[in-house]
Formats: sequence, C-alpha cells, structure tokens
Amino acid sequence: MTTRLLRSAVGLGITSAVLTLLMFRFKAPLAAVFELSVCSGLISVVFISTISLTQRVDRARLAVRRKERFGKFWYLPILLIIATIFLLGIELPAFNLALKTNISEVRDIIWNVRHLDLLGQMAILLAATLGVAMLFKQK
Amino acid sequence: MAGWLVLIPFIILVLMNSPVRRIIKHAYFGLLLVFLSWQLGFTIFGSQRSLNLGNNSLAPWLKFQLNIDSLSVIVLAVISLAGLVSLILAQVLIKENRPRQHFLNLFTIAILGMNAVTMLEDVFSLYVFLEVTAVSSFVLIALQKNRDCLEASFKYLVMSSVATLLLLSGVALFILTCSGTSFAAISEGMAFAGTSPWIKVALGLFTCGLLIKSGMIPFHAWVPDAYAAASDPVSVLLAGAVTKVAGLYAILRLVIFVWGFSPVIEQTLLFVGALSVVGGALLALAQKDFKRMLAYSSISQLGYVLLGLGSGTMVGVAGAIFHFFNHTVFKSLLFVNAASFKQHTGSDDMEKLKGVSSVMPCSSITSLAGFFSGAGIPPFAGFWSKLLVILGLWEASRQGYAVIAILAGLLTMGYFLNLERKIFLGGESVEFKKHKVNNTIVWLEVTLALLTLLCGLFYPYLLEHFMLPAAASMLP
Amino acid sequence: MIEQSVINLFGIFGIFVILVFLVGIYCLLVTFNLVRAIIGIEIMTKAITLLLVLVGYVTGNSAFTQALVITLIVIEVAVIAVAGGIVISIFRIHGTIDTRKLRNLKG
Repeated sequence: MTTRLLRSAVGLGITSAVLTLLMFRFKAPLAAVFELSVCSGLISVVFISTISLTQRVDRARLAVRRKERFGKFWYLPILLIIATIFLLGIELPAFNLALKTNISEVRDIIWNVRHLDLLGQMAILLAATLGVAMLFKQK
Repeated sequence: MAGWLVLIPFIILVLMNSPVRRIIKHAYFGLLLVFLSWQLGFTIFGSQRSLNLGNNSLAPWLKFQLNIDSLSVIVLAVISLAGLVSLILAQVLIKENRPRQHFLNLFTIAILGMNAVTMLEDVFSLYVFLEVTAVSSFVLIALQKNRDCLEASFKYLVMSSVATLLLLSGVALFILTCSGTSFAAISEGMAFAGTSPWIKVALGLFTCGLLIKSGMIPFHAWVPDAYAAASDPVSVLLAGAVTKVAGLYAILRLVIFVWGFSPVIEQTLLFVGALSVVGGALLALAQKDFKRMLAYSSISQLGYVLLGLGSGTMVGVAGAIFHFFNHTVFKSLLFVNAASFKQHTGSDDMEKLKGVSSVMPCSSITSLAGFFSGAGIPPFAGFWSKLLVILGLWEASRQGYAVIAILAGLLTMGYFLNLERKIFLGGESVEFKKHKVNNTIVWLEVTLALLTLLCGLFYPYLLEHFMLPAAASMLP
Repeated sequence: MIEQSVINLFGIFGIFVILVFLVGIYCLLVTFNLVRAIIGIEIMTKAITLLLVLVGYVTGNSAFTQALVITLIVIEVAVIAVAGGIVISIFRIHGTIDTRKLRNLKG
C-alpha cells in the first residue's frame, strides 16, 4: 500500500509539471514558475514526508492489497497523455490583444494594489506555522 | 478606522510571539480583551458618526479597500460578542500556560480573518480571508488532540476545501463575464448581462460553496462533529461567529448588495432555508448529547435567517439580520451552560443532567432564558426576530414557507422542552461531583441572559437604529 | 458579449478542466486513506488553477489572474501543511489512517 501511495504523490508532482508547461503556453510565466517550484516541489516533499511518517511496516498484506487495488489509479498516465496532446496539438486562437505579459505588472499588482491579500497571506502562513508546531508537539 | 480593526490583531499576534513576550508575559489576555471591548463599543456607540467614510485608508501607501456600512456594524458586534464570551471562557477553563498560549494565538488569527471578511469589497479577498478563518478553525478544533476532535477537524477540512474550490470556480467565471472581482464590478456586470448562462453557472457554484461553509442541509455533515468534539471555548467561537460570518454573512452581503433579489435566488434560499429549519429541528430531537443537540439547533436557527433573506421584503431581511444577532447571544449562553454542566457532571450526556437544577440553580435558570429566546417566546428577543421573518414571508405571499416556519417553531420548543424537563424535573439519579461553581462563569451566564431579555424588551430601538438601515440598503 | 472563438477555446479546455475536477472528486470519494483524500483535493485545486489561467488568457488581463494564482498557491500550501499535521497526529494516536477503522463519530 505504501508504494502505491508514494506513486500517487510522485504522480501529483508530475501533474504539476505538466500544468506548468500548459501555463507557459497560456502566456502566464510567473504563475507557471511559482507552480513548478511550490506545488511540484514543496507539496510533493510535504506529501512524501507525511507518507513516510504514517506508514506501517506490514509486508504480509502488501501483496493482497496490490491485487485489490489494481487499476484504481490508472487515470494518471492517461491524463498525462491527454495533456501532452493538448500541449503539442491544439492551436490556440490568437486573441487580438497583443499579449505580452509584463512581469513588472504582475509584481505591481501583488505588492502595490492588493495589500489586503498580502495581509491575508501573512496571516494564513502564521496560522499554518503555529498550527503545525502545536500539532507536532508531544507532551 | 476600518484598517485598525484588521491591523491591531496582527500587531498583537506578532508582538506576543516575538522575544518581547517575556517582558509582558501575562498581557495576552488583557490585550485581546481590550481590543474586543473596543470593537464592541465602537459598533454600539461610534457607528453613527463614522459610517461610509469613503476612503478608509490608514496611510497613503497602505491601500486597504475596506468599508464599514450598516450591515458590517452588526456583524462586527456579533464577532466581538462571541469573541469576548469565548475569551473569558478560555481564561477560566484552560489553566495551563502552554495550551492557553496556543489557543490565544489562533483565536487572534480567527478574529483577524472574520473582521476582514466583514469589511472587504472584493470577491477574491473574500476567498483569502475565508481561508484564513478556516485554517485557524481547523487548528482550534484539533487543539486537544484526542480522537474525536482530530477526526472532526479533518472532516471539516475536507468539506471546507471542497466549498472553497466551488467558490473559486465561481470567481473565475465572474472574472470572465464581469472583468473584475470587486463588488462594484460584479454588480455592474450583472446589471449589464444578467441572463447569460455563464453568470448563472457562476452564481450557482458560488452559492453552493457558501452554503457548504454555512452548514445548511444538505451540506451539514461536518457541523455536529465539529461543534461537539471541540472544546467549549472553541465551540462558542464556532457557533457564535465562524459559521455565521464565514457562510451566512457572505450570502447576506452578496445577495443584498451585489446580486439583487431575482426570483431564482429567492426560490433557492427559501428552499434551502426551509430544509434546514425542519431538518435541523427533527435531527435535534433525536440527540442524546447536549452539544450535538445544540449544533443541530444552530443549523435550524440559521435556516430562519435564510428564510428571512429569501422573502425579499424589507421586513423579512430586517428580521433575518436581527435573528443573526440574537442567535449569537442565546447560543453562546447555551454553550456556556453546557460548559458549566460538564464541569459538574463530567460529560455532555443529557441523561446525566437529571435533576441538576437543585445543585446548580443559576445555570438552570439562565438556560431557561436561552430556551425561551431560541424557541421564540415573548418577551425575549428571539420571538421578535422570528415574528419579523414570518411577517416578511407572509407579505411576500409565500404563505407555505411561513407555515413551515411556524411549525418548525413548535419542533424547536419540543427539543428544548426535552432538555429543560431533564434539568428541572429529573430527580436525583446521579451522584454529582462536589464542585465549587466558578464565579466568572456565573457572571457570564447572567450577563448573556439579561442581554437577550433586554434586546427583546427594547427591540424597537434596535430595529430602528441598526436593523432597518441595514435592510434598507437593499432598495435600489 | 463573449465571442465565438472564446467559446471554442473553452469548449476544449473547459472539458479538460471539468474532467480533472471530476477525477479529483472520484479520488476523494472512493478512497479509504486520509492521505489520498488530500491528494484528491490537490488534484481539484490544479483544475481550478488551470481554469483561472485560462480565463486570464481569454480576457486579456493575465497579470491579474497570475497574481490570483500566486495567492491561491500560497494558501493551498498552508492548508496542505495543516492537513498533513492532522493526519500525522491521527496516526500517532490511532496507529492507522484507514477511515474504515476510524468510525468513531456517528451521525
């Protein structure tokens, strides 16, 4: 069961990478880079550490479980193939807006226009940090 | 002014977690108490002067798009009231220093999130601060780390995340059709092209997300577990503030100010409201655990708010907002009673409460006050708010729903009578622990009971100054 | 108000987005394992991220939607971290993360 879970987590990382390529195609480079570094990197690390901290060393049942669960996660490779077809095949209709994403424009929006979202992000990161520290503390 | 309500909790949080805290070690509780009292005082006394100040900015370089208007004032009062009760209860019940520090940290973040939800003007910022409130609630529920609360917290996490994702797809479709996420842009877009299928799908997804977050039937699966498994101060905060501000206030704000009252919206709200009122009451009748019964009762009472909103008339909406406020008062009172009963009998089971009125007279009498207000018995405040909702439904010629509301009132009386019968007439069947009644809890209960009585006696004043101005903004 | 080419584009990628979302819901509903439930939520979030970028491309203000996507990713990290913490705490107490064995709360 554990190897299946690990494969799911790695599959999630690969899905994030494919999504990054799709976002590059849609002319959203900053979001694509963020998604690659955070989702494909950080979240995969969080998942793999969670899985390794919650595994049971139980060899006898692994073979039976493998037969039971066969085919439950067959969709991930198929999704990859579909995504690749989209990347290479479909012609994106050219919208008449000359779409050159200005990196400084995105930076301007995040840091200068939407201050309230910044406060929210700081608050939620503090909440998550304090929460995880509290949850992991053992008496 | 609006910016301070959001910045001060943040400053308190940072201050109390930095090395400065060794100097002002026991000031956390005092600082939060002062801040919440200031917020309550501002909403009651200062609101008449400083509404709609235009550009609520603290400094030229700090652009918070926050706005306080008549509806926000009532909800800020609700948040500060529930926060004060929860804070005082935590000060009494959580005795060790470490758990209290954890609780106060996350409590501050929850208050920050809810204050910001009340005052903002942008749909994406609504998502951000709903998540802030939700994450702090997940950790608050899981604070005691026993079996029940971790399971309840995880269930809440999964359902809240699904609700958030539905909300976000609604936001994405709003960007597509209305080219912007602020409330002004969306209402303009809806006035311009209100019948295109994109907007209908966006509205539907958004409403589903918000209904899951507010715990209406059929999306109520997380509510009883979360309220019952959490510790008592957290239950007070959840029932009195988080569920209402995160879910119901967002629906109120969006329907009144942004979307307007179209027949489809009204029909949906009425249907979900009626389902919640009847379903919550029926499920509450079958419960054996005090806090689970209170959770189902909350679902039922919040259904009244949706019914009042769906009626579409000013009387109904004013009744809905008044019931929003009243529910905080009497539900917090009942949860404080649950906490004091638990200290005496050791568990939440209602069977163990038989005859407890001889040992704890104060808690029993104040639970009567909560019961009268909740079931809608004059002259307590709950009667007037429910009456206004039913009048609003009658005026909008939805007599069927009005009859359902009246019948559900009878069901409410049913399950509350069950509780009171056990408390008063049960006879001494269980050995009670000899426990000295805590004075702070007694004062808290008496204050809340008096508050709900006073709100009922002086309801014309409240209606004229607070509720009707809020409901009047629905007129174009 | 929205031209035909937009609807064509949406027709193809919209079906893709809905497909990924349904896969995420299937994963969430079918699993007996708490960690898989979190993976299901993550897959659904990917679908919504793609939807946001798509909408940004179509309407032209991709800078705005990129800012929204970045905020979304930050918040998702916080939620996943807390979810992982809760799962590890459940494992420490029970010794299992199988939901069939965790049916403690009823109703």
